[in-house]
Amino acid sequence: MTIRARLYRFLAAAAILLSPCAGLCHEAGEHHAHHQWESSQVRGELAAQMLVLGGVWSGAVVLVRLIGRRKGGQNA
Amino acid sequence: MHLRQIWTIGKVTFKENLRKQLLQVILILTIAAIASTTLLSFFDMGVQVKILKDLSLAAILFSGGILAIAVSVGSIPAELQSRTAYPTLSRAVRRSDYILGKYLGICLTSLLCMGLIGLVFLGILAVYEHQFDTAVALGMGYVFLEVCLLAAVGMFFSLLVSPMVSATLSLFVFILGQMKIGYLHAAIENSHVPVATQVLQAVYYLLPNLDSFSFKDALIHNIAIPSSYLALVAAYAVVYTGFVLAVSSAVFSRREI
Repeated sequence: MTIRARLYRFLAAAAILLSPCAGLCHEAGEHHAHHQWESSQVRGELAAQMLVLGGVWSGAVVLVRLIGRRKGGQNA
Repeated sequence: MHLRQIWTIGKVTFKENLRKQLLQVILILTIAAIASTTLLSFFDMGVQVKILKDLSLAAILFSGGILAIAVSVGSIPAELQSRTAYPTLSRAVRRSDYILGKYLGICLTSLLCMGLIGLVFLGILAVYEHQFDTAVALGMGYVFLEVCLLAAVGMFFSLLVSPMVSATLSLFVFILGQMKIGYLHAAIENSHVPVATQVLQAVYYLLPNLDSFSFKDALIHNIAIPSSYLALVAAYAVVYTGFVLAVSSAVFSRREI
């Protein structure tokens, strides 16, 4: 397996795993506090947003790759 | 990704930006605003330092945000309109490298301006406190990260709509992002109209959490911030900026010029 193929497999796995993790982070962070750095709500939201963005980007890369491969196959 | 090409485009963009009058005006006004806080000599020394920190950090954030928006929304559309981008893009320069180069130039411009403002601010603070305040310097570093994130958002909007509209949208992101946790969260909780709640929630989850970059309270009252939180915020800035730049590159790659 080439490095690129491994990378796409890794990204696909990341896309699948990151979204539920984002939900868990968001649910875990419900504690409000006086300062933002003490609040698990803020931490949870930051982590959740990071995971969603990572998941969306990974998914998009894999999707574009798959569509490109299918089109390449049709043209051949 | 070709680092040499990105660096060359970044350098040219940086030099172009330095010629802009708006940048010089913002720089002079912000430094004047920070320097004017020394005139409040009728307060106690402790209160005066607190006011200096409060006003200066607010001025740096505001000027940095306006600067990032002003520079980022006009950079690419102006080059496309004047057709100066065509010779660059017709060569073996990838569109994504062009976007990254432009973004690097904008970040370098912001770094220079905020560095100069920061030097004046930290110099005045050092005179009052008789020592270099590393916590404030670190806090300014996070303001710079926030400005870089905003510049990426402004650049993304400039690829989709006209510079005027993209400046307005970026300004909305800047303002709403600042009060996301405090105001928007409460607005969602208190909203009784389902459609409005869903719209607010969509805006809430799309907006960058710019409020988390501000440590003004901690810096003014000398409260320690956990390093884990600082690392989380830095990682968040990198991920969000990287995502916006990746989407910008994808949009610009598919655009017909």
